[in-house]
Order: sequence, then structure tokens, then C-alpha cells
Amino acid sequence: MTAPVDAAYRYRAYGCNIVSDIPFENLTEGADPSRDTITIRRCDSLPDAPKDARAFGNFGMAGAQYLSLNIDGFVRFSALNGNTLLYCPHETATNGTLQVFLLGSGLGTILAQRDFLVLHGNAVEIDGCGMVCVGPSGAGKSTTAAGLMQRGFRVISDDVCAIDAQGQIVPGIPYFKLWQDAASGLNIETTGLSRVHPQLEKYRVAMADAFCADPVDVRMIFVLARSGSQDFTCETLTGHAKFTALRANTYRLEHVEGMGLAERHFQQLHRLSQRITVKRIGRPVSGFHLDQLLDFLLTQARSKATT
Amino acid sequence: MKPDTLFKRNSELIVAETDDELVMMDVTQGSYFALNQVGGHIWVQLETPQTLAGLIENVQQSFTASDTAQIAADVRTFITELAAKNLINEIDT
Repeated sequence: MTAPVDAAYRYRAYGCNIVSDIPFENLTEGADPSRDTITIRRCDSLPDAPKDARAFGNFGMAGAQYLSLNIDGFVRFSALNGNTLLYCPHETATNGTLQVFLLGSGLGTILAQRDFLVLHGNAVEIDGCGMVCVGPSGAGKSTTAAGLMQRGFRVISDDVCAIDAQGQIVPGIPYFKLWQDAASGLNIETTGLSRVHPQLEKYRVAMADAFCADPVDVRMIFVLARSGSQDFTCETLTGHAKFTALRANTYRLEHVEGMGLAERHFQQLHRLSQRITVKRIGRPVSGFHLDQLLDFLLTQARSKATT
Repeated sequence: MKPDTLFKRNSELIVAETDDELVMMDVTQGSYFALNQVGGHIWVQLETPQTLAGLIENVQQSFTASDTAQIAADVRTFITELAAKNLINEIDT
């Protein structure tokens, strides 16, 4: 039984080609024959889970080089062998909605299968060094990176930050996902921009020329948090605090562990922690003083000495 | 726990050192632990099987604290905790 050959849309991201049967917006176009290819394809029914697969959370199954997830009301997908992402869309799902989940959770899982250490954060190049902002949703990661972009720095990835075995951040997808209020704060006009999801006031903002298309060595990670005071604070994390911060900010940690990759992930965290400085940046409780935060981050990024 | 009970490390652990602290993961359970400097020192001694009495003596000599009774109690508590978390196991003799 052969599936009909659908139109193939070709892109590049995370050091791979991405060949999809639906078009994606704002991606770098064109395949490079020297790179591995990740195929994204619709199917009427997803393949059966392998024997070793176990349920995780309420909607997932994971095993060796296998993960399937049911994002209720939107899409079900299976990420296989680091090179194939199969999906069954819900009847109401639009291409835009599929893009959010396939290039987010789906591609993030494929990258973990491909042995990348994947962090939930935004990577920016500062003076030739890779700096990653991590922190919980709403901590201001994308806003911070977009603010740095406006100051002339190049951005390597938004939200899903993949680090290879050589300690390099590989260039991701060349747009930000920004909430309306974040965009307003940055004076970015959202009229005419695509929403990442029909029901959300969150928009795709292209990085354009500010996208850094080359891998950059990772040197520093900032964990964004509230300071609990009226001042900006900075604390250099060492030992298990450093390790724990990196682990906690791993993209979809439950996917990594569900696929039996916990031991490899542990070794990756250890290797990364030897390479980099991790600082916890606290910003004042009241208000979001973006310009002051950016000044403070840049000062910290450029001070080689630990505090 | 008897002073001459021998303990050995659980071989299912993987351990990484960062900034004088040890971080370890139990591969079978997927759980994480961290040891501080003194804990790490004891862990290093457990490279070969050790008795509780031997560990207490070693820590008393290695760290210049005057309260030897307190050290003995702390090491005993720590070893009990490591055993409870299955990071070390008693050797049957």
C-alpha cells in the first residue's frame, strides 16, 4: 500500500533539512543535500507503539527512539528514529496550528532523539559567544532575546535551543513567538503578522537578517527569575545548583526520560556544566524594565569573573 | 547498624563532579542526588567497601572539627540515608 506522493516543502533548521507535506511560514527555505533530512508527513493512522513503549503523562507513549503524543483537539503525532514525524490532525486544525506543535514539541523530540541536548530557552550571540536565556514560561525569554535583537545582536534560536556534542548551539527557526503585550513593549507592529495559534494573541515575528545561521559555541546561560526586591540581582550557580538548573530547563524533560535517554542526558548536562557559566538573574518584582534588564544582562555576559 | 557493617556503592549509579560537588543519578530509578563536600569525601572513600567505624574515623581525621561525637552521629545519619536511598548497600558477610 503506497501513500500518494504529496507536495514536498523543503526547509532547513537545526542543522537538518526538513521536508514536509504542508507548508510552514517564516522558515529558511531549500534543502542542502549534505545534511540529514527530517520528514514530516500526515497519515490516516499512526503506527503502533513499539513493545517497549510506556505511557507518560495523560496523553503520551514513549520508548526507544519513539514518542507519540495526543494534543487533544489539535493533533496526534509520532516522532520516530530522529528522522520522521508523522501526524494525524484534528479536523479543525489549521496549518498554522500544526506548525506550532510539529515544530515545537514534535521537532524538539526529534532533536532529542538525534542526541542534541535541547534546552527550553532563547539563544543569542553576544561578542561571538552563545548566550541562552532559560526560565519558566512567562519569564521573558523571548522578549529578552527580541530586545537584544533590536540592539543589534544576532539570534540563534527561539524557545527550542539545541546544543550538539561539540557544545555548539545549532541555528533554529528564524522567528520569535511573541505575545501582543511583549510586541507592544518592543514597538513591534503585529498587524499583518500571523498568529501562532488562532485563539492566542501570540504572533510570529521574523528575525530576518538578525537570524544567526551559523552554529555558535555556548558559553553562558542566564536563568531568568524574579528577584524579590527592587533591584536586579545576579547569582553564579555552581555544583548541583548549576546542574539542577540545566536539568529543570531541559525542553520536555519527560519526553527525554520517557524515551530512556536519562543517562545520556545526565552525561550531556555534566559536559555542558563544565563548559559554561550559569547565572541566575533576578529582576525587580514590579514592572518589567526591559531596557534595564538588557543593560544588566549585557554587563553580566561581558564580565568574565564570576560574582 | 553495627560499626563493622561493610558498605559498598550501588553500581547502578552514574556520578558527575561539578565544582567540588557530586551529582549522581540512579539509572534504574531515574532519581537524582547531590552530595556536598563532606558527603563527596565519604563517597570517594566508598570506592572500596568501608565500615561505618572506618568512615567515622576517616572523617574525624580529614576534617578539623573538634566535636568528634557530633561527627560520628552525622556520619551515621548520612550512611543510613545513603542506604535508605539505595545509593549504597550492605555487604552480607
